[in-house]
Amino acid sequence: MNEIAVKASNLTKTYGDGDTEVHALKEVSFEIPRGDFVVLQGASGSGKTTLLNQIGALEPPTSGEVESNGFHLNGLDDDGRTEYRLKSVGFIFQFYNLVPSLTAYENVALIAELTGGNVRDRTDQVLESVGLGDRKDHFPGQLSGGEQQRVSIARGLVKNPPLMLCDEPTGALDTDTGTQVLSLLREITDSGDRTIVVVTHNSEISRIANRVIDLRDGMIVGTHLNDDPTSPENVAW
Amino acid sequence: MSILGLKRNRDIRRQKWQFVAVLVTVVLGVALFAGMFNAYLNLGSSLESSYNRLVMADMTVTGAEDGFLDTVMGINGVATAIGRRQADVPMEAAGDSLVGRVIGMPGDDQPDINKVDIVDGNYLNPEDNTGVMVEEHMASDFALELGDTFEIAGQTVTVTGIAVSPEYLWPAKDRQTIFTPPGTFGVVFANESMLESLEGPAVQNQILVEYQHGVVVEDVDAKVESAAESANAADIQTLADQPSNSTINEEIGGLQTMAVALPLLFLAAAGMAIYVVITRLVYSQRGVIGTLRASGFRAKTLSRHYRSYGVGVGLVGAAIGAVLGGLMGWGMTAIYTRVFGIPDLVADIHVPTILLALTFGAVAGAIASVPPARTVAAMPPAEAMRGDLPAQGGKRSVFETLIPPLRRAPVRWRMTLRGVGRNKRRSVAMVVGVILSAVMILAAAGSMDTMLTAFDRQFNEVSIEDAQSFFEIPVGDPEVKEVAATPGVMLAEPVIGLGATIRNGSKSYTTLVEGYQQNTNVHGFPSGLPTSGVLLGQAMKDLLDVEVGQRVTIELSDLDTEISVLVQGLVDEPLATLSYMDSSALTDAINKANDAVTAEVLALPSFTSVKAIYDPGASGQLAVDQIRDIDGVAAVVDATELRNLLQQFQLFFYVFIGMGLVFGSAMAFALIFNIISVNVAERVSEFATMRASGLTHRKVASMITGETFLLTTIGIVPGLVFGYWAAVAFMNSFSSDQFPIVAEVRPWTFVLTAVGLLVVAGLSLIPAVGAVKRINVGEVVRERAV
Repeated sequence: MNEIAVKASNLTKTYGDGDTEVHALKEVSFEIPRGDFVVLQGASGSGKTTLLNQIGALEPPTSGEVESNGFHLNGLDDDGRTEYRLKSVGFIFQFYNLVPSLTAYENVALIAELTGGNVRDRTDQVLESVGLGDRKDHFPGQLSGGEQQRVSIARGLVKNPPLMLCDEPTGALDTDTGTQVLSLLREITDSGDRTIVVVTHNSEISRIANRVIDLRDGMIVGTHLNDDPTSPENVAW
Repeated sequence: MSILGLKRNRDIRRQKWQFVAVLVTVVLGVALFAGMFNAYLNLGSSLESSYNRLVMADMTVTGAEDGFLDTVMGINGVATAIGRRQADVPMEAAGDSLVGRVIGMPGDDQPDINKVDIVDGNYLNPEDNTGVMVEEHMASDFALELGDTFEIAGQTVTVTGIAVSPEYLWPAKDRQTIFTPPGTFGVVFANESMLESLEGPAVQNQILVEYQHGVVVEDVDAKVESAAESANAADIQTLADQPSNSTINEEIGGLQTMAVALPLLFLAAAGMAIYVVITRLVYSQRGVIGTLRASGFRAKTLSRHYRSYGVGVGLVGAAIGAVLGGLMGWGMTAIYTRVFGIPDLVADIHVPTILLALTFGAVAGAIASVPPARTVAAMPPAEAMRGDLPAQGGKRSVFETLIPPLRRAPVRWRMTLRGVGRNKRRSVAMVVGVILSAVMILAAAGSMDTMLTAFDRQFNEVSIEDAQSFFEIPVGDPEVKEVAATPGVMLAEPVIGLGATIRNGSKSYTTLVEGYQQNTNVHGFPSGLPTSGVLLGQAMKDLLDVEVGQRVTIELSDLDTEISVLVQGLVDEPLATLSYMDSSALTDAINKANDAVTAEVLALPSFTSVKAIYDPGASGQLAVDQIRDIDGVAAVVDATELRNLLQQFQLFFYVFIGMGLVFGSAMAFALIFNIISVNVAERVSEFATMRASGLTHRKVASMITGETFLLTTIGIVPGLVFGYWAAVAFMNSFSSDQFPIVAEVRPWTFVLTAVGLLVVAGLSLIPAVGAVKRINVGEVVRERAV
């Protein structure tokens, strides 16, 4: 049996209080084995981004526990959570969130410098791996949406984290570009034991995952495994 | 209120601290303008009211030949003229001896010109020759009250009244002695008949002239001057040149300059702050703007809506500023009239000034909000609805271009460097804000430096003497030796002082010519005192259009003599514009021109005094007391008293300087705070991403800090240059031939200004750094999720 990368137990997240209280997650428990390509899917407001934030230690839970790659997230203070994100998590956002004043190379190197080592080689290598070796000196404003998302993937990968968390990574892209990005993510999982969690409301994307967790109203309403995931080239939306 | 109006008010409430900072800047600018300009107008009105009520002379002619009174009365534009006599004579009051001024007045009623306000007691009694009125400053300096007695030229007189005179609102002895130490000069008004008992060259006949209303003053001045010159007048003084009046007007003129310059700085800063805040608002509301446009709002309507933020803040700030300015104007007028002893206080609210102030505030807001409002009008709705601004093209910073090794610096450093150029308008706004603040701080601090340097030079390099003794007997070697032998006195020298009119062609300047012995120790001459010829005060170069090497004529009216001498040099002295000669050369030249004026005549106490320097560590007061005990000494002026007087004057100045420092710092804080807040607000997603990627909030904050200090430093460099120019211009507005100060800013002041601005920038950063720390990474990610 695969080693567990992420384990959540009775995870609850509540925002506001009194009349404005919103239960974004309700007693959610699950396990994600290392090396899985997981899709968290559900409609808007189902709690999928909140769950991603819990796994990424971007905000603390109201109750329950999360354990990820050897870190017990509940007991961590701000510095501890930062350390966890630095060592264990690569984030990919829908709107890329690249620093517009830095080139593709520099956006990636900014994070590479945090972890030390040979920044130049690692950055070049990871940019090559996402197919941007020849575009590395371009600024975000000079890159297409797909290229910007690939820079953001490279930025997440450069730390070589065991876990990649992707929040609607194709949400701002057309089908062809989105497919390319998904292919890249799939390759990342297939080439090692890195775990990828993708949040989406697009059911087509779930076809490429090993594991699909369905969320509705803050609860997991189903988990199913794909023994034979579809190749990203074969999905369309 | 329209829904858009409600939206505007709520937007402002949501960003209240940024708008408060903008509001404070507008309020300060408008209040300063309304206050200072009202004070300027009110002071002018107060002075004019006092002059009109007391019939201040438009022209004072001294020493004209008989018959001049009739001549001047016949000049077109002259309303009336009167004659009087005045004399500078030894006095003893409250145990002190001094050379005071006695002015003759009709015994039975106030004169038609230069009346006085009786603030205590009564006007003169024609039957009582020993009853006198004492001018208010003298009464205060010598603690004289009604019924007190003192001596004038050996005669005992009684104080029957205390009066305020329009001629001595500022108690200047003459144009060259505008700072008269308390206890060394005083003015007494006495029956004309009393003047008859005073003799000697110190007694002068004067004609006071009053012009008709509505005449062109300069035209009548020219006619009266021409007539006075024909009547061989010793001194001709227009109202503009009258010592007290010109001193007060210099101050009022400086106030006018400040009333325009200072508010302009603040309103420019307020405009930039408004621009930055509204630009940020427009940026953050792109989605809303796109939706409203898609819903049918016209571009003009939305553009007007965003302009209303600027106009609204400008108007509210201007309204508050106008009210505060009105109060400030009233307060400033009251303080200034008290400081200058102006008897009438006119404290009107000048409606045009208030309206102008309101307009300034609203216009500053309106102009500043035009660029963001235009952005709104030009925004494509579809793109705007997507919310985020599409990524703009980036480029390497100018620093990396200029210094290639920086291209290999850590990316965080490069990001900081490029942050400077990311939003050029905002960076320019910040740099300009720092420049404006530096200008204000340096103008204030530079003024203080200039004053301190001027006083330091005056007392340590120019007027080196510690005391000046005036005698009532001729001053010869024995008198000088006796002063020099006084315990505590190191050395003493005789000094000749003569009232003089220096002429070069048609141009003339009335001043003093002082004669010092060669190698004098009591006065500093940087290039030495020439054995022949004259040294002129620097201001005379322009006033007389004279160059070194030219000859000038020196008219000595008290001696009825005129000499022609070569200008050997110009001296740059901070507190007066005088002329200097070697005393032997001066005596020879006068004797050659008029053989009746011998060395013995020049030794008369009206012309020669003794300046002394104390032993190091000696008690000045003790030395002064002992010199006063010397037979024949009429008065002793202790230089420390003049220093004290100037320090009091400086205190008044320091208040303004302090205001400049506080306001300049507040302006810098408000502007930098706003720009950094906007910077952080705009980049929340970027910072959240970095935090999500593992950067600590300290590292993120250090980038903002680096950018802020870099921009502040970029602003400081030109700010110090412009600030120096502003300090020079500001001090020049106060400089005159009476007070020919040269602007000087000490190196340390530049350093302290730069450090001060960096500290202000650091303080402005505190809320922004807090905001970075408070970024809720999860919330940012969640709110941006579909």
